[in-house]
Amino acid sequence: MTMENMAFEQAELMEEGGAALNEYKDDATSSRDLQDYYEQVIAKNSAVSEGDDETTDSDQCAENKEEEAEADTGSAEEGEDTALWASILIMKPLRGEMVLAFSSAYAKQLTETIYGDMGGGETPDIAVHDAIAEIINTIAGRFLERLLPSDREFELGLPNTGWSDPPDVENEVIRLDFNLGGRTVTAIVGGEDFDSLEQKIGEIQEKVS
Amino acid sequence: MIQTVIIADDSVTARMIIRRCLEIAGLSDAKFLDARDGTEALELAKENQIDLLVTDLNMPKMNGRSLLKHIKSSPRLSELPVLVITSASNPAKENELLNMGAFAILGKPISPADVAEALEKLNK
Repeated sequence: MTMENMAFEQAELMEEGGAALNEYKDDATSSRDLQDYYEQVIAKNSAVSEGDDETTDSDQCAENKEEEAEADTGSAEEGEDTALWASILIMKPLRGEMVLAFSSAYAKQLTETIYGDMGGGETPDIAVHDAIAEIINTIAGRFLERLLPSDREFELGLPNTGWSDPPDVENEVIRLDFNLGGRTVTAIVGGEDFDSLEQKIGEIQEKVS
Repeated sequence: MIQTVIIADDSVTARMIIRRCLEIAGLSDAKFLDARDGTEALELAKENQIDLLVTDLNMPKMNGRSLLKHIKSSPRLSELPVLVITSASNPAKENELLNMGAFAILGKPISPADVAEALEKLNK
């Protein structure tokens, strides 16, 4: 598949997958909402740093989070739906794509871990999209850093996100399901330039089996 | 003394993490200005008295590499310290960016300790 075709498919996926990050970013209202949320987080972190009495609220929120986590774990063990995905194109020197898929509950939990406890308020969807976009950006970078020789530069595209099941990855090579405390995260890597990686993975699997 | 910092990254999450790391690393009293891309960062740098620019590489409109090039070729801004924080870091790219004038390159995910160590280079 050519890079142009991959970019075209990305654009199609953005339309098919429901709300996507770039839609949020292009929408002035949503961008302002996320910036407002960001300012709230900064202000709250500053208040905590200055020693405001947040202890009582924090303890109560911690209890709430534990109860929520227990309840969520139950639903996760029953087979939670994978409802949120992030994807990023690998541009150079290999051409491919990485996709991470999360349940929406876990994506929100990750976002709240990054942003901190907002005192029981609902985490905005745009913050969740932005957070998982940054997560895949970081993971893809670390993946290529380890895969490639240290003297080889690499280039990634800008992340996309969407609601719904993860998009199909052309020439899928790796599909890993991670169980993280009862939550499932699926990582998918593919692309025509990863064929040799598939062979290598096969050799490794033979050795360890 | 670093009083005003521009953080350039298209991700709000990344900007927040970078800011927290900078605050913990010793810049808790600094003023922070946010930029979503290199174009915004360049405008902010031209319009304000800036002491430090922290930039991602992979951004829309103007990427971090172009931003660095513009900053270092501007007579008024060429002395502005630039710290690059990127998910696409490797030794080859790091050398290129250092030769272009960045004082340090950090690979994501960053920690306050990483940032503190980078700021130490600036103080030297």
